[in-house]
Amino acid sequence: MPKYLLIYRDSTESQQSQPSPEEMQGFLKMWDGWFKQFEGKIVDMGDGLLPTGRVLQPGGVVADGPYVEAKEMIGGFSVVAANSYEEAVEIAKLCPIAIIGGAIEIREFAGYV
Amino acid sequence: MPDCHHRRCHRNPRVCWLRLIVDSTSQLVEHFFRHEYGRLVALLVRDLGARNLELAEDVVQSALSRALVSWPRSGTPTDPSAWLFRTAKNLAIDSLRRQKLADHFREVANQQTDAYEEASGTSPRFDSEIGDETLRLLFLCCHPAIAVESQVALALKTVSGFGVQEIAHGLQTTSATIEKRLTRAKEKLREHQLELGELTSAAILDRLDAVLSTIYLIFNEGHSATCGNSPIRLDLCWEAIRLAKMVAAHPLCGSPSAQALVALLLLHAARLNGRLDTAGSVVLLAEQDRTVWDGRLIREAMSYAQHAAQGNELSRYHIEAGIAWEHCRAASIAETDWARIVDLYALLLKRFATPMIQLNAAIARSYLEGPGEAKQFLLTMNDVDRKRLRPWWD
Repeated sequence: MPKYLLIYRDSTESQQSQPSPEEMQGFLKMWDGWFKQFEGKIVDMGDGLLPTGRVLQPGGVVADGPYVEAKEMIGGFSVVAANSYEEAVEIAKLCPIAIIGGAIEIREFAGYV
Repeated sequence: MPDCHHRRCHRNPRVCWLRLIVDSTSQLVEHFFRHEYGRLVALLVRDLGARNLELAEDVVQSALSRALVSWPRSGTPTDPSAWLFRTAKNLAIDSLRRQKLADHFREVANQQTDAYEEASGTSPRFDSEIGDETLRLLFLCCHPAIAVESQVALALKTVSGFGVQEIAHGLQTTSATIEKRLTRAKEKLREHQLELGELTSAAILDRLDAVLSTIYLIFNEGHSATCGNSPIRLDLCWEAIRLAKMVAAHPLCGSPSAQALVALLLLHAARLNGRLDTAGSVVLLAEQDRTVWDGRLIREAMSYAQHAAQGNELSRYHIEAGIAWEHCRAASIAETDWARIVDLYALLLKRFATPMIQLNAAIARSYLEGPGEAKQFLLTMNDVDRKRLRPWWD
């Protein structure tokens, strides 16, 4: 079955105050629910990414910080198995990131390896 | 109550199914993160000193963030509290090491972590005058150098683990205002080099009144009938009760006044159910369905009232609990012992003649003797007081 990479993009514009512990507990439960609902479909739960980073530019120039050209910054990723983009999108729609208003980029693995 | 507090939940119908999942997988008790936040900040502040309150809050926030990513993937740890404490402590050590101050803390923290882990998930106890770190932190927040409104914000943020937006919503103000109050409170803490270790029994007893009135204020903010029945406002009520019980249970500060405060808050909480109709509008006392009042809470209040009656202290909480009890035990507005309530108000007015109490006293008299007295009171009231009471009859 084809695999898809879900790339979580947090908005860099609506950086409100930190989420409260109560909101975080709610969020934790949402992730638990999502993983349980799609148990066989989620190949790799992935990880979160810190907001720090480096960019190695051509010519060996190293810049601080992740690439922030867009209004969103990559905050994490997961890998799911699905029969089609449509199915992958359905799984992504129910992901907590989508529910709280984040964007998710969905890319099919080429399967070269 | 399902704790799906995310702002979007109310707008987004897709989220409704989620509540089902959320409820069926709830491995963590309700408000676990919120309560852990306060406890962990308290433990770290004990080790790092009050001057590092902000660092303590930052690392606890980060530890919760890590749990968010880690637990769904590797499973919830068997002892989530210990996991969070270890993570927060390590983050604090990393941060302090960068500040080259870590050596001392590391030594202290290691000893205390051992003690903490031996206690296997239960609150650690140490030979301090206030054993419970959460209580210590509460007493720190109520330092006389900090303005009362900032005390409330600081206590809700650090002791109770509420977010800035939640506090703003609960206190009906803006996040920016709350941020300002918190900043001022923390400046005071730094200015006065306030340390938890300085809290002697004498200082604790000195500050007990301030702590009780902060808790009372938190409850009132949540209970205030000027706005709807939002979950966060009810949370303030239950949080105030939790804190009051914590104070009342402590051998040093569990004075009759503290017991009376718990009794009072429980008697108010017992009637929360009847106070609003299904549309969220306030129901007048006379029209409330008294059968929905919570008898379990009323019985619990009575056992606190018994403790409150020991000794010869008579605080405002005693008298107000007495008034609340008269309402609770009456089968209807007509069967209420208004003569007794009027007497209790008279006793209260001798000590605290605030406009609000004067108004309530006048209302009680109007039930006993007709409306003349209450009308007279409203007519003679000055504009400032009238303004202050305005939300109550608008």
